[in-house]
Formats: sequence, structure tokens, C-alpha cells
Amino acid sequence: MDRASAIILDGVSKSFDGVCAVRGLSAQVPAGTIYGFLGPNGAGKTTTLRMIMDILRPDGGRIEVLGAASARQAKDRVSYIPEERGLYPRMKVRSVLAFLAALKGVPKKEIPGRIESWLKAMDLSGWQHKEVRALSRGMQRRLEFIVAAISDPDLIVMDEPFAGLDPLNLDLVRDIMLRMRAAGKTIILSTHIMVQAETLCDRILLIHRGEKVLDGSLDEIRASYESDAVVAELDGDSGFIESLPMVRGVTRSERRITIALRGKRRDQELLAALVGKVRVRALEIKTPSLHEIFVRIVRGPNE
Amino acid sequence: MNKMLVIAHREFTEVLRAKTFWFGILLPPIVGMIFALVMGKPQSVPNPDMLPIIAGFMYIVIIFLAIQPTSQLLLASLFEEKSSRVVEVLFSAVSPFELMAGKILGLVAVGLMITVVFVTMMTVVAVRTGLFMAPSAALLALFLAYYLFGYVMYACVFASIGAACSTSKDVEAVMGPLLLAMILPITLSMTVARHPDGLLAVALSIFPPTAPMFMILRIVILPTPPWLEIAISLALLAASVPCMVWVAAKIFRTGMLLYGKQAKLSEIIRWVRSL
Repeated sequence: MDRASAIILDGVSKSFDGVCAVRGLSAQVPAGTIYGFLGPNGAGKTTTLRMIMDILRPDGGRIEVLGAASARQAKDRVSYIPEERGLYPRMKVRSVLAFLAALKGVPKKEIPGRIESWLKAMDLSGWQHKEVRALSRGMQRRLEFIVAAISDPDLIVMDEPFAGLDPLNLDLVRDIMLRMRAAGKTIILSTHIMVQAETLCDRILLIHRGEKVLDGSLDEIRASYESDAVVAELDGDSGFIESLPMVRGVTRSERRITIALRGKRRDQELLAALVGKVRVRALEIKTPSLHEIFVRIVRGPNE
Repeated sequence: MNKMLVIAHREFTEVLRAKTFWFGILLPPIVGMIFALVMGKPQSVPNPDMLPIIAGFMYIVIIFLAIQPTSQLLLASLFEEKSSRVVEVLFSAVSPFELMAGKILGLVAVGLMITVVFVTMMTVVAVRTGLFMAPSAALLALFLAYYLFGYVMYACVFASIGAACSTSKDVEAVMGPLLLAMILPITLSMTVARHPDGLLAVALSIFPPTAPMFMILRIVILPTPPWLEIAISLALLAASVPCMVWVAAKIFRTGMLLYGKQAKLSEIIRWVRSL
């Protein structure tokens, strides 16, 4: 049992009606990090998160949460924010918080105090006696965060936490997550928007069609895809570029040419091949974004 | 246990908060009671031999009125939790059994409250109209026992339906025959009232699904309670109700997380079989 891991997934599989949703997934989520589960819709992210939460049982493999055999045993130390609402529409804000806090084992005496301080922190104090359905989407999301945080869990699992949020609320949610991590909590979130994960997660796992395609810290991942594209603005006849040995493909859009290279670190070779043949007006050696890496992996293997 | 009480408490308070509850369930009887009080003693005194039968009918009506609407409330509550996805958050805090049991507990409390109100009102009416027949402590104890068994049985059925169905259309489709099955006993109660010792009466009062209604009816009508048969029916209920709860919990566990896809009966049976 590895204390430093908040979650251990070992060969986890799950099928529904003969369709394989998750296949042989193995991963390790270090404690005190923000861990991203990335992948397109239908990749198996939500299924995996539900298995971690013991809402679904895996068909094969093993899951360990906070050192316990399943999230069920660690129930009070793990919080979950599902993708869709997850709140009682007709209950009052205060009542919902009190109810869910009590269910999570927060001592009765402490509940009012915690509700007060969290409502203030999330700027929802004025809404505590209103029904949940009266709140806007962004406010409801903030409320869900309070629900998850009020029991002071060690692990918070979030399914698509950024879905449908305006920029202000996005920033707020990010700040909250960073604060939680600073407090020593582990956060695992799923999203299909790579950009958000890039700026927040310490480590990521990329899932495609139920299988792991990538796993590691952002630095590690970027390092293995470094410098394999160049964006340039060129004067002159650049038709020869496609047939250069180190070039995998070329995309042209008006003045800009994106040149994808075979293998890594061949940008200098390309430069050498361009000099003298065309006039280079602008050049950028690109580190692919997570989005691009993923698309590349999913579309087909590198040559 | 503590968490079940938290759930039960929420269920209770949320029902009481709903205005439809007060209007639909308590207003009509209150109006009826005021009406009866104002009318006073009836002109013709009914045959004293009929009193037990009337009382028996009243008990059946009370049980029905206490169980039926609260079961509907259970269904509605499950639906709301499923469609608002709260159920996923709930399952991250409590087990499916705790959730189901807590909700049933809360609604039993609601049903008991309804029963107390009705019985008080009817007693007031009965005293006023001179038709009063005081029940013994033993009868009250038996009534309570049968009511609780009956309620839990109905709740299990409704919880299973609420959990397994994804749309209100599906619920309506199942509810039709179910309501029919529930009304059927009431139509048989006339026969049972006339022949409280007959084969039909005995069978209906021992068969667990119909026992709560018919045993009470027979106890009230017969000069002495059929103690042996009471013992048998209570034993059967004590054995079968936990099984029903267990089956319902299985269906509940899987069904509550099924969105959109309507489960077929064969699938549901598989849920129960699997651990």
C-alpha cells in the first residue's frame, strides 16, 4: 500500500452490454496533486471516475482509494462533484448544505459555522435562504464546490468541472482548486478541453476509447513531443518543402506554413534546408499543445 | 443508522414543506370533519351490528390513505433525485441501502402522522355522532404492526419502480396495473366482511401482500381475534418483508444510476441475482 498515492488503478476494465467502456486501465494519482483525466466524449472518463467512487464496480482489475480497498470505505474522506447539477432544485441553499454535510459525517455542532464561512468565501451568503433553482449556473457550480469542500475531504473527484462556465467563474474555480491543493488535498478532474488542463494539472492521463494513451506530468509529455513542428512565414517558392526528408506534412494558410517534422529535434535540419532557398520572414519552433498531441495520437501513429 | 435518520428527517421536512401535501391529503378530511361536526347526530341510528363492519372499512380506508399518497411521494422524490443527478452525490456519502431505508423511514413518519390525524378526526366524529367504538390496546398494537409491514412492502415496490424507470411514461405504464392490483383487495372486502371466517378471508389475511388490510378487517369484525392466524400471518410477514427490502435494495442500487435507458424485466432480474 503506497501512502503517497491517493488513487491506484490496476488493470481496471468495465463493459456495458458487451461494449467495452474501459480496458486495462492502470494509473497512479500522487497525493496532493491536481490530476487530469483527459479525453474526448465517450472515452471512458466518467465511467472511470464512477468506478473510483464505487458507484460502478469494475469488471476486472483493482482500485485503491486513499489506501482503502474502495471509495466506499473511505467515503467520508472523498467528495464527488458529478458532471450534471448534483443538487436538489427545490431545497433551500442552507438546507442542502446542512443535509449533505451531515451525510458526510461532519459533526452537527460544526455544520452552521462551516456553512457560514464557506458561503462567505464563495460569495453566496446573500442566497442562503433561496431555493437552489433560483441560482444561476455559475452560482450552482460554486455551491457544488462548497458541498464537496465542506466535509474537508482528502480527495475531491470532479467530472467536467469547467463545463458551461463563463470566464469569471472559470477563474474562480481554478483559484479554489489551487487553494485546495495548497491545503494538501488531492484533486482529480476530468475534461475534454485540453487547454484548461494544461494550465492547471500537475499530471494528466489521456484516455481514448477506454484505453490509456498517455500518462505523466505535463513536462514529461511535452518533452517527448518537443520541437516537431515549425510555423513559418516564407517568401519565395516553398513547394519543395513537402519533399524534404525530415518533413512529415505541410499545412498552408495564407502566408503561414505549418511544417510537421518527422521525429524529434529536426527543426535545425529544416532551417538548414530552408536557408538560401527561401526568405524566412518569421519562424516559430512549436511545442505542441496538449490538444495537438492528443489529436495526433488519436488520428494515427507517428511515422 | 445516523445517516439514515438524517435522510429520513430531510424526507419528512421536505414533504411537509410542499403545499400540495397539505391541500391534497389533509384538507379534504378536515373539511369532512367540520361538516360532520356541524351536522351532528344522524337521523337514523345504523344497526349496531354494522358498527364493526363500518369500523373495519374505516381502518382499511385509513391504511390505504396513509400508504398510497406517501408511496407516490417516494416515487416523486426518487425521480427528482435521479433527474437532478443528486443521487450520484448521495451515493458518494451513503450506501444505496441506507438511502432507500432512510427515505422509507421518513415517509413512514409522514404516513403515521396522516394516520394519527385521521384517527383523531374520526374519533371526534364518531363520538359526536354516537357511533364511537373504542379500540383496545392490543388492537392498536396490531394495527401498528400491520401498518408498518404493509407500508414497507408498498414502499419496496414503489422504490423499485422509481429506481428502475427512467421516464414518467414508463412509470405510468407500470403504475396502471399496480393501482388496479391495489384496488382489488378493497373490492373483495365486502365478501370478507360478510364471511370473516371463510376460506377467502383466512387466505387473504395470511398471504403477506394482502395480510395488513384483511387481518385488521377480520379482527375488528370477529367477536374474538383469531390469534393463531394472527401469529401465522405476522410470522410470514416478518420473514418475507426483509426479503422484499433486500430485493428492492438491489434494484434500487442499479436502477438509480440508470439514466435514459429503460431496463427490461430480464435485466432487472439480473440485477437482483448479481451481488
